[in-house]
Amino acid sequence: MKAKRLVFMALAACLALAAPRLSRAQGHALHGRVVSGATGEPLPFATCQALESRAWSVSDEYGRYALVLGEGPTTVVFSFSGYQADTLRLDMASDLERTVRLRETELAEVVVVAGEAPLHKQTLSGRMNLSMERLEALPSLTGQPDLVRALSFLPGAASGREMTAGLYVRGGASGQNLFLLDGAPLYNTNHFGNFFSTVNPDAIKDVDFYKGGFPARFGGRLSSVIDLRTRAGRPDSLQGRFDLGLVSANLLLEGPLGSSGKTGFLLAARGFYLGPLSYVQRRNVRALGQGQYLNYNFLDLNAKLDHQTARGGRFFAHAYTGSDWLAGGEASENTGLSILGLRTPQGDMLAQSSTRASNLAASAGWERRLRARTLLGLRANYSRYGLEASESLSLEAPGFFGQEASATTSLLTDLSAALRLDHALSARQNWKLGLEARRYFFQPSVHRAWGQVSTLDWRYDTLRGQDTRLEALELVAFWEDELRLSPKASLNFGLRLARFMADSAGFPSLEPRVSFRQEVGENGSFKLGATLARQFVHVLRNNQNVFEMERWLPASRANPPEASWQASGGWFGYWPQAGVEYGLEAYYKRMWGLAEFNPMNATGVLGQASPDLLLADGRGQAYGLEVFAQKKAGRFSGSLSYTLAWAWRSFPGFADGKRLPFLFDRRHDLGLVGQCRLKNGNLLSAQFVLASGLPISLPEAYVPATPLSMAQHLYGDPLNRRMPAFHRLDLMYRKEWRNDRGTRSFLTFNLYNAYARANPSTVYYSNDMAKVVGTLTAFPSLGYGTHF
Amino acid sequence: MKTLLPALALLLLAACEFTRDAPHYDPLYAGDRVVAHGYLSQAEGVVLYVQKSVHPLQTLEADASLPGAVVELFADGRRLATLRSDGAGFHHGPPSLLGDTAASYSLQIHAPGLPSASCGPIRLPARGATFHQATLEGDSSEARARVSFYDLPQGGSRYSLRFSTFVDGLPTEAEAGQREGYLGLSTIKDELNSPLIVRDYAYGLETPDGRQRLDSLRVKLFTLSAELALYMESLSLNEGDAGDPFATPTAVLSNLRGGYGFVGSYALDSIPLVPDWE
Repeated sequence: MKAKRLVFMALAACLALAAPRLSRAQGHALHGRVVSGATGEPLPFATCQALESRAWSVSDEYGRYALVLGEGPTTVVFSFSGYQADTLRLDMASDLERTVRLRETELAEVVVVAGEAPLHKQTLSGRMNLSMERLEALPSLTGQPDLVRALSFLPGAASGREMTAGLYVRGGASGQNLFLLDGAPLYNTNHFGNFFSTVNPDAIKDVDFYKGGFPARFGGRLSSVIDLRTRAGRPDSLQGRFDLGLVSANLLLEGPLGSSGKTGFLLAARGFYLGPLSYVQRRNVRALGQGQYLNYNFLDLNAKLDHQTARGGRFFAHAYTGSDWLAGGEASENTGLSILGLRTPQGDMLAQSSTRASNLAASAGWERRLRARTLLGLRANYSRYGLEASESLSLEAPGFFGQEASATTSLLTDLSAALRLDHALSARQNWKLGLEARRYFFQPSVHRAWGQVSTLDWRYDTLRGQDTRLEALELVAFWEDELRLSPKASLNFGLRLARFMADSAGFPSLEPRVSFRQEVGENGSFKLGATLARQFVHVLRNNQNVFEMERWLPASRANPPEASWQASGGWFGYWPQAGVEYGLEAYYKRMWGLAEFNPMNATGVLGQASPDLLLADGRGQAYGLEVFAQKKAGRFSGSLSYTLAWAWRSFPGFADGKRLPFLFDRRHDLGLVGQCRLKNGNLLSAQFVLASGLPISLPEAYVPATPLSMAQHLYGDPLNRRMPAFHRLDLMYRKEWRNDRGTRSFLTFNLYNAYARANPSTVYYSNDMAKVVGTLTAFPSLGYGTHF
Repeated sequence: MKTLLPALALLLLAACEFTRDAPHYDPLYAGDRVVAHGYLSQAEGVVLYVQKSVHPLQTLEADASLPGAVVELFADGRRLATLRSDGAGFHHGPPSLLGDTAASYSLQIHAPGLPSASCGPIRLPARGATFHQATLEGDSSEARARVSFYDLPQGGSRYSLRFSTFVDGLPTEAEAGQREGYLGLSTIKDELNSPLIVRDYAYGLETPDGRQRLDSLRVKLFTLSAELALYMESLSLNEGDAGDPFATPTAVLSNLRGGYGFVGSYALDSIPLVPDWE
């Protein structure tokens, strides 16, 4: 491994030394922004190309571009899919600033408009983009479009179990995905039960999904980066949207602040509520002392302020907060409960449980163009994730009241500051340089139990055996170089240098990153990518149960950082006659230093400390082949993705250290998405998934009861079988209309699992018969929405 | 819309949990294998129960007896003893066989017509926790026992407490079918900030039919090996997972090679408690 790293570093260093000499060229910078002519919203990843010199550039996430051109007259074409190209004719005698406003193409029948450059034109291997228009045109569970579920339809990404919104990328665990919300890390990306992700699509403008070939500016996770950019707020007029479903509602407001047209705001709220449906049950339990109830609500709020300053600069502030409340209770008559051997009097008994999760991701940044070629950005982020799961038992009798309770809390806060410099060295070379400092505070899993009857009062951390708040510091410097080697070849390489300090231990990290693209002909290219990544925070999730939430544990001497290296390569092309882009990519990934909850000792999650709670120093291996094709525009659009994959894990001391399949290893995973805009303007959408069954531990034999052991099934190696294959068809029909004032409204009917396929979620043996258990067959939902 | 409503109602009814038989989902049964469960301890010696496995879907009235099985016990690779069945499936070895707590013990189990199975290394807990205090109070209807012991200083030890009740000096009916040393009741872990672990228990002094009165209690404190505690955890989780659509079944820990089952080790302290209020 050391030799591979040395080779990697040497290659990167040689390229770095050579690059400035290769590309040293004099010229003037053309810079500015590419925005939508209709709304003023920035257009990310628009292409800008000079016809004479063939120099080209791509606008950044906020629509900003910088292009170095030779002196004299030149013609620059700006293009963006779904918009009409615009041409500037300029005489470059000095640096120039131009804002380019592109007009949308008049294609009423266009279903999905995704604006970025085609895959074969992008240097980064493993990067894909998902537009919100495409997401909203997908069928969904309960009518709530789910971003994470939609990402799982991309090649190389797989979902977890039925209904859940887990994301497993190229054999990685769900905790190895870095979600950035306007640059702020988003911890715990799923609402309770994993049925919905915490990302409210209404607030999101664009998503970049990196599953390999990570550029050096991203780090801290092994498997993927999901870079979410929120909407900037429309600077032209106040607009909004309201959606109402059976158990959910969304509200979006965005518009200008002031009359300058430079400041926009956004407010988005999303709620899911079962409360009104369970009101009667809750009242009976509390008032009458009988029955049981279950209540669940969640709320997501996003707020953003975006201000454009002179010379392409901007200031922004964004905050997201999400909350989950899950509560259940059962009232009954106490007929003599014993608590730790102490008898309690007869009377009323109320057992209650609740889980509360809170999530916060806030960021504020200021960016300013120092010179025509140089953009400076300063940013501060604050993220916080807290979870409390509690249970209580109340006993009431004449002259007696007692309560026993326990609670487990988990807390993580992340405060960071970053400085970034983007510099266009020449027409062929751009640098991105950055410094980051991040301060963490952890309380991984603090358990408390107390009671009036038992007189207990315990408090300890189940993962550390003591109740202490852990602090950690992470320092990062990165350098990223985008280099055009020739008109048809480009390179993105860089280094990420980090040091993590926690628990009186320090862990340095040097992570080289390389992506290379070579165009072949007009409509094809092959790409290669290699990435070394390190993850300093272990994300522990009890994968045995979908209702378990994540715990975050910093790297320490006992559990050193996780690391991976990945190589990928493939062919990407565009078939202009059909308007279809396609790709074929293979990857190989190795991981080490992995940590997981021991699946044989998951009770520790619920509050008991145990030295066997964690499996540490694990190894992982993943490899596979991905096929992808998509048609973005036209009345008919859609995509096909297929992944052939293998993913393995091994942990010393678990199953004799044998290599076992990863719990979410799917050998085959096929996803088909299709949308059709009908002639009356309504939308019909369908998605189909067909995947291999997940691995499962099933008994190999049975033995009857003895005086020393109970009757039991007997197991060999864990994960020795697979569940039956999984397939499902989801449908959506959206009827749209406009009233006299031009307000657009729509009625959406979603049918999840349209043909009611009994997909299994587990298998077990009982009464000499294999039993397959599932949770949901067909699930229809109806929603109404209006734009105003 | 009106025509859609009945269809919607039907679909909503279909949206629920379901369980169905899967007769074609055959288990991976590799044929009959040796199954052994048991424990090694310096207090009680070797106690093993040896059977053979049966097909997981042919469990009703299955005959798992394996009368001809022979168990060989080794310490650090040296054969200590050959243990034969008592006719009921038990294989006993005296405590004197396990005098060396530092030794690495292993087992080989042979049975006619079956592949041999082996197990080990098994290490005895270097030290067992002992009772700090045990008291019994109460009145004519209820006995309240309080026991305490210190958590072992190395940390990470797991304990199990077991109370046995006696009438006329014999185990009560509920206990009679269980041998002493059976583990599986309340497992206490190093969950307290204080090294002193205290537990309270209460027992009715009369048997449920009211005809017999308990005359004594015996409390046993087991200090479990880490592997034994993990086995108990996995067994408990496996029971809880059965049929849970939101859970992945937990494989029960097995430490026999070439067979199934689990052989663990523990250290034991025991104390009798006799009511004195009569």
